[in-house]
Amino acid sequence: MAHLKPAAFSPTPLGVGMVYFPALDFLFEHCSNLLDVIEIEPQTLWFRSPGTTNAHRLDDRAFERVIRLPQHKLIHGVGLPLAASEKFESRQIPPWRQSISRLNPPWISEHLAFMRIPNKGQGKTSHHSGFLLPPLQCQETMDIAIARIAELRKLSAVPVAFEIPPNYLRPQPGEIQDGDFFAQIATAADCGIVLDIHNLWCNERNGRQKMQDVLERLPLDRIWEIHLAGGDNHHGYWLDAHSDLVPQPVMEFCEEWLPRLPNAGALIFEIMPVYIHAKKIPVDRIATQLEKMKFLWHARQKILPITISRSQNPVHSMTWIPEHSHNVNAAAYQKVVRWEQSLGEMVNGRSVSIQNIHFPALVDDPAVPVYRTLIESFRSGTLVEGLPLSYRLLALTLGENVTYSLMKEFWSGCWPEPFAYDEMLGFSTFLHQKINDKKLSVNFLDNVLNYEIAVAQAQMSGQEQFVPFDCEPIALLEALSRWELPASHTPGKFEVQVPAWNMQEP
Amino acid sequence: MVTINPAISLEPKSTSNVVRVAVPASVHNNLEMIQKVQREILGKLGCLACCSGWDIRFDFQKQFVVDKNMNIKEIAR
Repeated sequence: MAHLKPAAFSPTPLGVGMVYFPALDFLFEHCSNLLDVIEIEPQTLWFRSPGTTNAHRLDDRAFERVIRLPQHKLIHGVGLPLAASEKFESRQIPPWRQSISRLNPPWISEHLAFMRIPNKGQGKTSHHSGFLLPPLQCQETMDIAIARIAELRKLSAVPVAFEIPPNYLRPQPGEIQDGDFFAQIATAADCGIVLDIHNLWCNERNGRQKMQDVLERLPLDRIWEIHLAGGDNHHGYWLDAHSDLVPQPVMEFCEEWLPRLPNAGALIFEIMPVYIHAKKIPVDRIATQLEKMKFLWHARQKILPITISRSQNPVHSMTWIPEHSHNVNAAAYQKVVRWEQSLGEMVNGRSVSIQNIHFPALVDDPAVPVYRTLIESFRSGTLVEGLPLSYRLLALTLGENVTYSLMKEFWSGCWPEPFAYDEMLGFSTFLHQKINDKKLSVNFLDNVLNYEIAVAQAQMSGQEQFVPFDCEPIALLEALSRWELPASHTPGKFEVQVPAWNMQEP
Repeated sequence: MVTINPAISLEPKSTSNVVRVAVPASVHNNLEMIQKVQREILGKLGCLACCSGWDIRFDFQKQFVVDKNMNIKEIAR
């Protein structure tokens, strides 16, 4: 039996923090004295460069704003998941390194998940899954994750931790149990763990291993970071939605276990800005919660006797190496690919033929339609935020149900795109095609779509754009911005000038 | 004859009889609120962030508007 070797890296304790969003600037200002750490998801602060290169570049303005914040900075990736058969996207590597160089985090973290769906056709590119999806917990996935972590550590040049993900699926037949799966990867990869207690709470509430049992399997000295969040109930599932303050049982679990984590470096609260507005969560209540977290952080120093968990399962040697995946372990690699294809296709509403069902337990898993509706909620959110006037014109003319049906038709034929702009462009093209085929008739929809795409292009390229209109455009745009249709329209040949947006202006 | 909103700044396009229109400040401010939100998500990777929940932006769009002081207010529709 192999023993778990202790972690070599021991992070400097940084303190209590929050995940950064530009929309939360007001909160960071209000709660500045309660925050020791800011956690940045760097990909959310990258732009796609205009043109055809598809390269990414940092949003300098946003990075400068973050760098000026007095707190320590940590980096939490959302684009290089570690349990994926697909190699890291090469175009992400330079901005990832630049982000690390600018923010100088003592360690970085990523998700133990996947978000690309390998294509079944030879030489075809993979698809974006639309969501961070859970891996199949098997030896083959562990081997891939161990290799990915080594790769990320090498290209990041700082210690790497993986986040324990939420998993709404039932345990698959023959799967390694949650705690053992995470423990063996952390030890074999010699890396850290981001213990997301809300994720574990979701998993337990949704039928997976109990939090206590997971913790008892983990190498506690490898837990460098703890995440806390709130969620919501959706069709009987508790979702990791980052949509509220931390539930009491999650906070109590944190209180119980934090003193047992000798290498805890940061305690981070995650909340999506839109929910603060939607639920009218008072800033003072967030401040009170941060104070509670500060109290727990300082109280943890009364450390309980540490019992480092020892796995009963041996840590297997690596059986898969990315550079040689076509050799001896192609079959093992294929098992992971089949999982990614099966789950990715099902949660995106693609039909899977009987002969291609490699994981029959997925077929009647009620979490699959839950994932599907969550992906659709993200896709619809992207469209209404990116094309708000076009959406309003559609909804006001055809009704919301018909408009949503158009979106669903678009999703059934087009895979999710990781970039909001590409989703917008795809939906715009889909609607233009329907207009051209005379299957859709909404006055001036083509004009408004072109206008919103042009605004996006002006913002991304920094170059002014001109958009033709078949009616006087201002009355139309003004009415839609008020959620109204114009009382009348004046036909004619017009062209709207869309000014360039200066990236350096606030 | 085409009737034009007098608030619009007009510039005849030199190559044709198309009327070029710049969005006036009174309208621009309202649109700018919308475009500011759009700007936040444009071209950015990982807009899902580290979250595995329901995205309420769609529901939000249907229920709320942003006024010219950037306050979000609920609308009755």
